[in-house]
Amino acid sequence: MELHNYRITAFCTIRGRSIRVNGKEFLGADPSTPLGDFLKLAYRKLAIDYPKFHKMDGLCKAIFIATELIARESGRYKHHTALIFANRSSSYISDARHAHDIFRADNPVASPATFVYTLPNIAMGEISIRHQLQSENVFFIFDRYLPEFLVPYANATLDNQQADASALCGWTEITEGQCDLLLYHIGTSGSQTHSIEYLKRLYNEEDE
Amino acid sequence: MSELTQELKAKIIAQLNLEDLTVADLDDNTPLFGDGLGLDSIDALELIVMLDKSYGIKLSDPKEGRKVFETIQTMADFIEANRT
Repeated sequence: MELHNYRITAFCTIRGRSIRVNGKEFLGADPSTPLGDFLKLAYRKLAIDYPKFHKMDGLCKAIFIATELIARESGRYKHHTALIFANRSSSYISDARHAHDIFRADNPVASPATFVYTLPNIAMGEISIRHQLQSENVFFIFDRYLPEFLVPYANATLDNQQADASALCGWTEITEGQCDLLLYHIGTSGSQTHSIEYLKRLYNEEDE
Repeated sequence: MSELTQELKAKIIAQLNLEDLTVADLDDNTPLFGDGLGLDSIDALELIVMLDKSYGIKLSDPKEGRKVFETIQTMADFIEANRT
């Protein structure tokens, strides 16, 4: 018997050079556009004033943009909104940059601004600050997008919340030039059931 | 000295990713922290690295940093007096 009745209230994908919210395109660009420039374009289109965005690494920027867009659909996040993210490459972009800086033959130096992003859960800290979240968060590293794990894990987390169950979940794989992101908000209202089948379909449909 | 303050402004904008600012936007006496540019503790570390890397100045006393990083002008004065 299904005990959980959680719903997907909104979702966002960033794939190639396209950002879609609830299946509708928010921004598209030529595939040759560098990922950094594309994320900056998205930030400008959001029309918000948050200079710290420019200091973030690619992983944080992509997650930041997706969470802003989802909030515009699902409403302001509740303070207890749990964060459950996963990806394959962890904080690879910053890790590689930091390694390059400290191992270079000429003038090796550790840049604090780079080093501070050499953990994937920093992204969750950034959006917790932005949206004033005081909640559980976890960042898993998997070989691939794994709704078979994420759905029951999110259900268990939501079951433990007292009322107004709320979580932001998804897959946030970012490498130097590519982005494969699906983030979604789970709550108690919305037309789509939070299920493995639906999330598999969503990931594959949005990839087409 | 003016050349140095201009150079510092350009370096700070680039190093700290202050995307929305240009050299012309920065006044020599604008506070770098607090109500001025609103830099944070990571930016402070980045400025310490910049002093070392670009001007060969090692800042080991944190109390000294508070005065040195007050404004662009105080940074420039400190560099002029200590550069190697």
